[in-house]
Amino acid sequence: MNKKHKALVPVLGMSLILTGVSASFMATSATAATKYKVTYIPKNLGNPYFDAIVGGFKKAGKKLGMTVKVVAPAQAGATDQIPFIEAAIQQRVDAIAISPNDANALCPTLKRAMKAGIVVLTVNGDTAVSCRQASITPVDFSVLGKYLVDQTASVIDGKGDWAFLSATSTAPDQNSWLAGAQEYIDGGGQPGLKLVDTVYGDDAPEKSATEAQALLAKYPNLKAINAPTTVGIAAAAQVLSTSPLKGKVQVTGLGTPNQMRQYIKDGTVKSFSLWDPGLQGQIAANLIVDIKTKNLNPKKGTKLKYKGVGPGKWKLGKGAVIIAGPPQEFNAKNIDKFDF
Amino acid sequence: MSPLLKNNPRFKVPGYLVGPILILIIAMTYGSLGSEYFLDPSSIIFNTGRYIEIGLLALALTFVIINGDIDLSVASTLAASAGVLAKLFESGVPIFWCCVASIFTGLVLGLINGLIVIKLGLPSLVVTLATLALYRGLTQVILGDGVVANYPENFVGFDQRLVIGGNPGLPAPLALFIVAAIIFYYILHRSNYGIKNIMSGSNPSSSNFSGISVDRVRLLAFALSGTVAGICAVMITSRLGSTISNVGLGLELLAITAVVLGGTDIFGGRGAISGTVVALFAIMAVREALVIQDINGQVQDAAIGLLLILTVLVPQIRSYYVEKRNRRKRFNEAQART
Repeated sequence: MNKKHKALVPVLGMSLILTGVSASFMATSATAATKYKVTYIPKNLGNPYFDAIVGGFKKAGKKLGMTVKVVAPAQAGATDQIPFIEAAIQQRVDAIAISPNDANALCPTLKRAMKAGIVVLTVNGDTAVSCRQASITPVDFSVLGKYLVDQTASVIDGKGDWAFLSATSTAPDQNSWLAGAQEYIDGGGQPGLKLVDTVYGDDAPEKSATEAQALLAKYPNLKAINAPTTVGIAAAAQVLSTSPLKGKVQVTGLGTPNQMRQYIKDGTVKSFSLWDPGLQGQIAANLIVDIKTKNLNPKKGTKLKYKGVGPGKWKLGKGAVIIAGPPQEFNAKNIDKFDF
Repeated sequence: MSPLLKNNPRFKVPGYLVGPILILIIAMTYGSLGSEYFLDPSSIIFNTGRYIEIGLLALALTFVIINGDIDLSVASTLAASAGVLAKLFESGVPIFWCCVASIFTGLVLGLINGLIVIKLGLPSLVVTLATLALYRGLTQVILGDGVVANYPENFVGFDQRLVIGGNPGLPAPLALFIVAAIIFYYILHRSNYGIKNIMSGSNPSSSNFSGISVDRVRLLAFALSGTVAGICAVMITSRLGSTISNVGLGLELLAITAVVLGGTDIFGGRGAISGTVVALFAIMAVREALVIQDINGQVQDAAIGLLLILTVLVPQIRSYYVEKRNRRKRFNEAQART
């Protein structure tokens, strides 16, 4: 062995000893301070909507003696959440709550988590029914599709061309809303409206803004853009607030009051909607405790009652789906009452 | 140190392995200090499953990079192959033939890369940057915004199967990687093609003069990288049980990082399979050590980026000092003579 590599041997040895020592040390020092360990995996980070879910989760978790860890990938790609699920399995958490980026690709990993005895819930978006124990959705998806069409109609007086600015083309929640909207239109809903296009901003501000600009250029008769995503609606509103088309093209959809306040105040946006995203987090935290302590097996017809949480009681729908609450419209009159 | 180790050349750690081994050790230490769950043999072995596609791509890329070429399109080739697999499956073709078609698609796309690079004499960096976008675009054309799922039960979940049972067992992907690494080792370091490969990379014109068809060697390397991407497409489809157009997005960066971290010279002429293998496990250790401590995606990406810069920089610095030392040695010798 030459001189240079001699140094490697003690380093190697030291590290091995260190690893061994640390492993045994960590093993003894691991005393559970709280009752349950939960990992919540949002779609990605830096998204105020998911921050609100996290807020609700942590608030309820604190009351219930639960530590809620939040980890997320940098991108909202289909497989980016897998390493985080696997890390949670390895950490032997009690429950994993996830807002899935893909309805299928996560299934094998989530099933493995359930096999390891971990409670798996989907929050704000769903996978196949067999890949989780229950799913918490913000509102009734099928009703929401119709709601978005009616919402668009209300801001342009029921007449004109409009387009959807969605998130990623594989996001299950977005797709089910778009499908619901299409179904309503096909069934003769809001005949004065014409849906001319659906574009995808991938929940990235830059791309969403570019797609919004492209819509304005491509469709001179466009009257409204409906962006049922918090990133998309803010990007579209920002584009229009500095455009000569401000006021002529309406932006509506789903956004958070804090993000949209300035556009309501400057007249770019008449109204938009959302629900309290934090409610989903609160329900998830309570449900995890129910499953863990009462051995509850969530299925269709199961009734839940959580005092002081939103409407207070829920009945599980088909496929163990929990609908958190009704949508809430925000406009110039009421926006200052909300802060999230 | 035992005398057996001391003067036995078999136990000498080659220079290119020092970096990745150090990273591996540091990451393992960091991971086990940070989380009590990190050093769990069965989890560690199971978690290798997610890195095996990167590993196989890196093994093939080692050949391409030794030639002084690069293939940035591997992940897009993988996606296009997966797209073909998915589309054929959807139209009712038996899954076995879908897999064959996937591998064949990879081979063809790899050959296209190689032919453009060699016949038109264009730099592979530019050509494969273009096909990176082209093949990904092709995938989007094939699959649209749709998702193909519902693959047969016996096809899905290949990564969760054990070749050798027990706890910890040997999962199928890791077993496959070990076999592949041994095969690639023999091809690169023990076969005629491997020798030609290294020679072509270190000095193309003199290799040409000594009767090596450098173009053919390079073309074969591109074909190899494409074929492996096609194989990885089958693996990733089985692992995820579904296909969408952004499958494998960004894998090329991790694969190239593994090759370069493993000491393969990005300018060609030098490289070793053992380096790529150790580097793959080093990258894996870094990722796993970060993710088990609940460190978010952005930081993980930054860490891998930093690693890549260091890996390119460190050999440069090292060779600078080696050169300096040699010069001083020659200078001293010359002085001693006078």
